[in-house]
Amino acid sequence: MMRLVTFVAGTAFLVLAGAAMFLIAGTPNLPSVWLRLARQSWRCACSSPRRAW
Amino acid sequence: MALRVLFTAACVVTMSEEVARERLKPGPGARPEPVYNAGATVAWIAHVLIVSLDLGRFHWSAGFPLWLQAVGVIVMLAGLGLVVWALRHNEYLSARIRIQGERGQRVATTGPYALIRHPNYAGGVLMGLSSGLVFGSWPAIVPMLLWIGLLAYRTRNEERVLFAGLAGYSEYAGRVRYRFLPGVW
Repeated sequence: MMRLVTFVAGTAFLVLAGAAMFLIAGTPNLPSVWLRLARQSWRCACSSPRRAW
Repeated sequence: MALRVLFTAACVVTMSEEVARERLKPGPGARPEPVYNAGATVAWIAHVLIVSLDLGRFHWSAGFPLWLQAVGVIVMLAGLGLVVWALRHNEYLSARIRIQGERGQRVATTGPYALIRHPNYAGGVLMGLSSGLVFGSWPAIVPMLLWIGLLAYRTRNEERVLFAGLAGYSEYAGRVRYRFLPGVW
């Protein structure tokens, strides 16, 4: 029970902190490291060497 | 943010009900920590504020290197892992500085405690060092350096209580000489 309360309280705190960040930033589109890493991986995957002919 | 949710879930899965109860409702006799509590609150609010203003409005850290963010993610994961590992091996990991006599507190000596005396704070140091990097914000690193200094201050205060009141701690400290990083401190 106490572990469940810990999880709910911890997650609620993170949601509030996230909401505060978006409000202060003035946009929900904050750059995310995951998005940047995914884009970079996609670019690397798409830039395979082309054939010469 | 995703890492913090993962961390919360990992902590909850790892900790026992007794540890969760102690962390939510600490027992009596805790040492007051006004300097640490006030300083840590200011440091974390400043961190969130600076990250939000930097990334959303002023773009002070535009062009932050992606490879450094990736390094930050790795260091952050190491810090989170160290805290979870400490939770697994310390049944008395309270959020307050106090000797849990009513629970028959003993010195934790296994897992990360066999290497350093405060692996939970060492994990906090890694998390503090990497948080600004993960967000990709140079100025957000500054308040976390303040928090790391405060963690060292709190560690010293905690050790005074442990040396004075926890049986076997002096012998343990003789065997495990370093608090955060073997060979350094």
